[in-house]
Amino acid sequence: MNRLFGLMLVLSFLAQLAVPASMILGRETTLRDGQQFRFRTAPVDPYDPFRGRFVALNLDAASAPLPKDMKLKYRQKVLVRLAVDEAGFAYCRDIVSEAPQEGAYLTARVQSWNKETVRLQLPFDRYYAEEDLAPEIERAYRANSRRDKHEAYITVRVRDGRGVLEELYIADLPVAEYLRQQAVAKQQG
Amino acid sequence: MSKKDCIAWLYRELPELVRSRVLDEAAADQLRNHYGPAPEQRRRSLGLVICAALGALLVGLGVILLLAHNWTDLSRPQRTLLSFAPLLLGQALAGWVWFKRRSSLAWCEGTATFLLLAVGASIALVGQTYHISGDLPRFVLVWMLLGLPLIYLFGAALPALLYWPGVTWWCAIGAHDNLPVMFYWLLAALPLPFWWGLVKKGRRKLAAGWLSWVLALCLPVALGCSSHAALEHLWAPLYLSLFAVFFLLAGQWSLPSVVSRPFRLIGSWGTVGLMLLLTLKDVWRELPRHYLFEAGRSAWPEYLLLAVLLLAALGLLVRSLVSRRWLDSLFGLAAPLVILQLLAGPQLLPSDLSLIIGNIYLLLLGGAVLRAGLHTGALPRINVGLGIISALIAVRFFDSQLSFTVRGLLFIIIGCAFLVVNLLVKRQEVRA
Repeated sequence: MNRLFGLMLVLSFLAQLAVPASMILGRETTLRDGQQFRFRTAPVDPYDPFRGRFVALNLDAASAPLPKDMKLKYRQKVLVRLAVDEAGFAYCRDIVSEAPQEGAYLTARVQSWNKETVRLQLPFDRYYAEEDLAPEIERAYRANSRRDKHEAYITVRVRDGRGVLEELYIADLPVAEYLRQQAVAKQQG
Repeated sequence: MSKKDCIAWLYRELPELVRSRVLDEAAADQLRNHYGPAPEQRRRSLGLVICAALGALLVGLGVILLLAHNWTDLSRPQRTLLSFAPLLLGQALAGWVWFKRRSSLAWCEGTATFLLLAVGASIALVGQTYHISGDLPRFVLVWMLLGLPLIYLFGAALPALLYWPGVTWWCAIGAHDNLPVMFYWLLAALPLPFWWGLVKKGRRKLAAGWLSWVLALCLPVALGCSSHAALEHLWAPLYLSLFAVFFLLAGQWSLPSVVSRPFRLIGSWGTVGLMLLLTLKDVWRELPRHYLFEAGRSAWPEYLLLAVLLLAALGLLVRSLVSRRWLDSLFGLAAPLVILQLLAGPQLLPSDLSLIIGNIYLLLLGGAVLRAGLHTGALPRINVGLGIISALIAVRFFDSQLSFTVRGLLFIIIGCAFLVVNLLVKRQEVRA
């Protein structure tokens, strides 16, 4: 009996380790081998009690044409084929029922739909940042977007339906670098 | 009071008894020899267990908050390693406790609680490192399931105290995401053998009592969330059946009062609250519109849940009637009464008549509780009886939907009932 309980303890420890390990493995593989896309975004700053402060990413590409032969349900998982526009940013081309043989695709969730388009939740809708940094990012983005000079975008690696966020860029600079330059400019000016 | 508490009390009294010459020193010594050493250890160890469990809880929550700060300076590989740190620390501690301190409840409670929180912190940090989208229901469910074995392996109550609210939280947020939240009932049942073991052994009464409170509070919340798809059709029968099961089951099983009290209280107040709600004209008229069977075939899990709860409630009601526990039976009668009224529909039973039946039921219930209280001289019960009747009066007074005539008649009936109850009680007292 004691040995059985001991075995169960070891198994439960292994299961506890396996969950974060499998999460890491899947993401690392995608970051290493996945195809890179850029998504236009608008960052805003909310809060998660467990994972801390993050920047919610309001993605321009989070919608696709309504499929004709598919019955949709709220929060349903769907497969979305990706394409790239003339400016080099990714968008959701269409919703498909089976994983395509060629081209990149993502697993997303249905948020809402109307007669023409389906609003989607893509698997990278938040960028976690240090607690003081997240509001800064939102402020920096707002300042930029008002002047309409630069835009914010994220780079994402996509592989086998999984998308992993690489970096958030403002004015073509990684966000940490952008904020550093802004701070330096503020001190000098 | 347990035997240990009685002995502790006796030992505290002995010096005074000797001083006032009720006992001589030799008799006091004989008593001490008979009952053995003073049982002070229990209270001290209970305090130690509570301190250890709360300490581990606070440290674990502190680790989650520290990691939530999100240290930008750390590289991805460093953060990946860091995400395993609290988990490995918790597991190492748990392994040490398993081999060296398994007999210490304080160590077991503290370590199991810390490890449960470390599991959550670890998954959360990986999510933070890779900017994983906010799938909160899945995170909560995986976290709780990974922590569940700790309850049994360490015999720890605090992880169970966290587990039930955790799965209830999953049920609430999962309902919004259209997840199969009916599985909640299976998930909630998983720590039940542990809780039942504590209740049956009659040890660790404090832990058993706390677990009972948490369970009795979580189940009604989860009932609404798990049957959200058909709730507008079934809320009244579902909740009345659950409260009847709570009240009757806790009354019929010979459970320690610390365990049965939460179920009795929530069951009785839930029944009274719902029945008061159902005496409101607007609420009652809305019910037949969402007719009982209109939820459709897709709502079969909700109907199955209702059937199970209702059958249990009816079985317990019959048992209560057979053993002539009239007051308990009156509480248990609410669920079948409302279901019969709903089945009859407004064609067979006009809604005004249904409202009057509801009022009479509550009046009888309040009167019966009051009578039982007066009979036994139990002040809390007298207050409960008066509370039910006063609540009924207050609801009727503010219920402007009823016409003045109906309200006037109801007030007269209630007033007469008060007088009759008083008269009956007086007569009984005179006869005694």
